[in-house]
Amino acid sequence: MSSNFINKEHRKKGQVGETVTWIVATVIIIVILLLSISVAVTDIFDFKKFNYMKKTDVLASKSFFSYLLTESEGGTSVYKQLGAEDNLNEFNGVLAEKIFKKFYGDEYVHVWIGIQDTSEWQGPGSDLGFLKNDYFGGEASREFLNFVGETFNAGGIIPLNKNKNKNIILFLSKL
Amino acid sequence: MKMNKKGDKLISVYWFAILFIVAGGIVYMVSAFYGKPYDVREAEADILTTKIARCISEAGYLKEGVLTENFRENFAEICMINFQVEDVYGWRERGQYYVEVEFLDFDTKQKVFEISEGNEGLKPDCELEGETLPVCIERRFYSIDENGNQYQINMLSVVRKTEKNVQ
Repeated sequence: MSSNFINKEHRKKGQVGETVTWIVATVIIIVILLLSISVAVTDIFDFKKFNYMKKTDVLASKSFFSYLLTESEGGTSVYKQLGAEDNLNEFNGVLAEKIFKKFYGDEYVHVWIGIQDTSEWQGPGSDLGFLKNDYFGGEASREFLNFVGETFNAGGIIPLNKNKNKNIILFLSKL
Repeated sequence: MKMNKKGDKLISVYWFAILFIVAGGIVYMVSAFYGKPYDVREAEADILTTKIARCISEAGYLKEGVLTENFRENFAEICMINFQVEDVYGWRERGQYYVEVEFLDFDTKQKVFEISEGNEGLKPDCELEGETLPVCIERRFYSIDENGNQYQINMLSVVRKTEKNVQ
């Protein structure tokens, strides 16, 4: 075979390779363009929906205040009961379930109400003093607090004593 | 040499074609995205709900006189709610807002009082689904009156304004 023939063959292969590269590049450009256009036109990511973040859920915090002011048959308010006792009792526990789980359970992924006692708090890294209760379970773990802290605490925190180391807390989280 | 010149010309034409296609695509994308309005109706309905809740309950108790005929009749004025809208798309003739507040006995769930204001014709649309329909927000809260009576308060806020929020 002559060297001329080999050169011609090589040139042909090179041209085919270059053409394929151009076609692939064109297809990639067109695909990216079409994808971007379809995202912009259909708005599948809801960019045009006005997203807003509420720092406090006014209705939930109104429920929270009313809950604390509700009196049992003996005339003692939930706030006073929680101040005197270490945790939720049957009256205020069931009432809390009826209000917060039923009203906000569909709207929020996490709903937790309970007592935080920080009197024995030793500083960062120590136990945060969330007390488990029979009505909202033991979700008040460190992981839960960290998780909620990063996302949304729409409820409220009310101190139960003068030192403010015993608080009743309502956590609501959408994530 | 002649073949090379032809190829170069072809590639130049190709480059220009791609350039115009990409530029045209970007122009279309930007105009499609920024030509669409932001839908703020959910936020508007939420603000309306919050405003009404603040009007009927304060510091944990229902405000005095809420469960009276006078409050029902002067609801918009007392709560300082203004449902006036721009005079476009026939909005003035057909109200763009509707609010409904139901007071239920907390234990029996019996309705004890009800207040509504605005265009009631918007309410049936809440049961339908679709982008071009009014936005409805249904929320609940718990309250007590000064005698210790417990209430579940259901609130429905509806905002239409479709023409300016959805295209």
